[in-house]
Amino acid sequence: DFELTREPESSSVAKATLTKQTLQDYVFILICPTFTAQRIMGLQKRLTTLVTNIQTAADAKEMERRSGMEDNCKIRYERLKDDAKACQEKVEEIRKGWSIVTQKVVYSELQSVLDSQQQLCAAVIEDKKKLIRELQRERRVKEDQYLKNLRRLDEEIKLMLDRMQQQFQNLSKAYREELTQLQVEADLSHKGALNDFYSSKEVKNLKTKYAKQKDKFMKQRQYLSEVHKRSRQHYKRIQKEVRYTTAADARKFEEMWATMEEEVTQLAEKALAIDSLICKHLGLAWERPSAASMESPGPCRSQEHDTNPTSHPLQTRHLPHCSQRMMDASVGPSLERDSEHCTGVEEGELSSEMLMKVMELLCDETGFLVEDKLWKLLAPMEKNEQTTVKLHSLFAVLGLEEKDLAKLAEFLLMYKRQQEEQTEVRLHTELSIPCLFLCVSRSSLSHPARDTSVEEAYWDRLGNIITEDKLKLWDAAERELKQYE
Amino acid sequence: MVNALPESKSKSTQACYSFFYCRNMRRIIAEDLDWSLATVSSLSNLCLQCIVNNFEERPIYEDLTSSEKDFIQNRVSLSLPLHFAANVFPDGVYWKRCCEQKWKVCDVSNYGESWKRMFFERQLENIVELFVPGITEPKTVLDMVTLCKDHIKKLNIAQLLPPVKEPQTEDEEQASELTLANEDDKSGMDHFDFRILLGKLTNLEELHLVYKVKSCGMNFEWSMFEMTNRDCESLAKALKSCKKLKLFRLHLSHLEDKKCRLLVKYLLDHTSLRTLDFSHNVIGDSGARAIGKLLTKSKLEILNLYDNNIGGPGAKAIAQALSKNTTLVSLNLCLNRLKDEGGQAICKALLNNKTLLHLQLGANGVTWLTALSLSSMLAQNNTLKSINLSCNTLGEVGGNALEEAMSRNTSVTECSIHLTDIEERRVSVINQMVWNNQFRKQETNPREKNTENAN
Repeated sequence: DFELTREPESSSVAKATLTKQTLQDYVFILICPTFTAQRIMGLQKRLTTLVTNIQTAADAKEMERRSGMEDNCKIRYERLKDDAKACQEKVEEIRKGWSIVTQKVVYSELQSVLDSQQQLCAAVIEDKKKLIRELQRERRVKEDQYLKNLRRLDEEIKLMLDRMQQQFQNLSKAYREELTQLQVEADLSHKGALNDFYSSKEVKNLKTKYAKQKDKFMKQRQYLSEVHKRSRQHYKRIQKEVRYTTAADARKFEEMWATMEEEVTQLAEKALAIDSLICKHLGLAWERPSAASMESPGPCRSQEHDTNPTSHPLQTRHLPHCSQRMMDASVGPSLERDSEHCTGVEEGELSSEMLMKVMELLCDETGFLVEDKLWKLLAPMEKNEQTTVKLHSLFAVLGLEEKDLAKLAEFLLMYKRQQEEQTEVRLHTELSIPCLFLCVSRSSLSHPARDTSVEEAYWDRLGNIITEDKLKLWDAAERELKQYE
Repeated sequence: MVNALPESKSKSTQACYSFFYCRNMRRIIAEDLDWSLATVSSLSNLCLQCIVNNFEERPIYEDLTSSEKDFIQNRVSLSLPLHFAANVFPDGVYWKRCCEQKWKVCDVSNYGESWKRMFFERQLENIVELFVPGITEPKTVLDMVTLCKDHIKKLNIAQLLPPVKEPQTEDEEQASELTLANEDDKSGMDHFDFRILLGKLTNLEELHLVYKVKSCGMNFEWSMFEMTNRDCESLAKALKSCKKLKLFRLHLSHLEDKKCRLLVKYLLDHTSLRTLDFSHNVIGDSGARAIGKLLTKSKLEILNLYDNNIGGPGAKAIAQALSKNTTLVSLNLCLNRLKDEGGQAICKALLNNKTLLHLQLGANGVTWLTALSLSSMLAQNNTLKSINLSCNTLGEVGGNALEEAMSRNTSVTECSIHLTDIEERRVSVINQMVWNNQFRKQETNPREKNTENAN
């Protein structure tokens, strides 16, 4: 079915034959019945013969070379023999010529004989030289042939390697296909066995058991989801209540404050009026204490949150007193930017977008807090992950928790608004941010010890609107008055 | 900065300060696989490392568990003295490391999956290949042999160096040109004497030899590629002393009749030799006669005489031996000069032979006469499995005879008749019949590997 061409003149021809044969192989494989063992055997045989064909061709060439060499040897031998014979004849002649020396002859005769001898010798030498040249030429031809032979052998070896490579590939492909086919068959038989196994009675019990278990789990699942839903609703309701109550408390507090304030101011006014009267009577100058001392800090400031630490971030209301702390200028403008984007922020309701922005802000600003090694690790991660990791580290360092994040964000917003309202010039220091955090943490972690100093001062002031001296004066006046009675 | 903060005595805020100002707590575990909080390795590891560092002075090995032994073998220095390591370490990772350090390509399946064996065999091969007679001390070989004689099973020696020739002065050169080269003069070119080596290798089973010099370049001389008579004699005596030798291969060494006869003389009584490979030499009829004698006396199973000068008379001698032989399984006479005289003799001999399975007669100049005798032989012989007649001009007559033979024969499963001048159609017919034979055998037997590869 295939034959290596007798003399592959060039490697391209050899390659052409190679592809033709592999094509034939493939055709054979396709047409052959699917019985794999036979197919593989055939494949093995064909591919191996492709490789050994090269060897056979080399053998044939070698035989030709040998026969050629034998012929050449014979020819050369003949020629050398002829040459030797001819040479021998000539040498005989020369020898005969020397015999003349023994005879007595004329000088000229001797001379001519000598000349002829010389010529004969020269002829012999010439013959020999010719022979040498011819043999040398033959040798050069042989050398060229040898080189050509070596090149041819090299090509043949390359071809053989190619074919061996192809053989490996084809055979391994065929083996793999056979393997998959066997596996498929094994699978099928295995499945068949399993089915048989399962369809038998002993295994039916397992099936019912399994079905029962499944039902049970489904029911449990449903029940648990109901419970979950209900508890969520409950939680929401409680949250609403808390909010409502805190709002109500705040309102009540405000009202109380207002009434108290009114009462106190009334009393204060009364006292001042009396004071002025007394002074007038005593003939002292009286001046009204400055309006500043009567300034009320407002009801908002003094709200207690001790009862509900995890409640609503209404506490941010009293954080503005921290606004007297310095804040970094950069936070300000960036917050400005952010707040421009956000729609009105209600208490306790922060858009997640804001939250994200705040977190990013934190990240960027507190970059210096993050260690170098962490930077290196973070480098390959995405931006979002970076943010998260950084925040985690920061909060871990500072002891914050996630829930505080919301408070933090709101505080920042509050502060921002404050900044816009107030016109005071702020001093900036470098570490204001950590200070800020500390304040935040302090205010949110620790049950905030309210800074009630201002309120205290206010009440004190109002309480002491009539000073000690005045009181003494009043006492003295009273004593005097009593004396008069 | 601290002072500016309002006083607050809660513990958590103080903790906060400490977190910030004393940033010693690492909270993120790096994705560094070598990172571990434990910087000190276990005590047993430390001890083992100590053993490794001082292994030469105090070799503690036998008393360890196998995993500890592996640890030591993986880490101990490769520059331990060889005699020391050979006694302490059995086959294992240590030898693998040694091999991979020394040689680029290490295929341990060629050495029976034993790294120790690979190392020592290759070491010894290296030493013999670089041995320069007259300059190298035989002690180097002997020392190595004492270390490893139990581990050497196969030696594949790829070159044998001749002694260094002193550069001749001009006078000497002229003198040598005029005198004819005498055979005795070649005694100055004796190669390595195997007598010091082979007798000591008690486990040696395979010996591959080539008398050639690799990469001799322009310093080529014919004497680098042939043996001297004394070489042959010492080799023959050495072979006799090698009691377990199963395979002997001496190729590409210009082995002619005289030396072949000498070698065979010493191999006649060798009890364990099973494979003899004299391929690519120049053995003629006289050598073939000696080999025929060897066939009758010994239990050879595989005989390879590919690419020699054996003619008709030599083949006749071998055929005579073949007709009485009961052990030979494979015979390779490709690329000789058998011609029909030899080919027919061999075919006739196979009429009586019931053990030969593989016969290669390719490239021998046989013609249709041999094909005829082969086909008549195949009619009676049903043990022969593979035949190679490629590169012989069998012609149509030969093809016809073969076709006829194959139609009746059921045992031949491989028949190689490439380049035999037979018509293509007939060749495909013959191939088909042979394929049927093979397939039929396959059905009855489990899968057999295709072993057709003549050389």
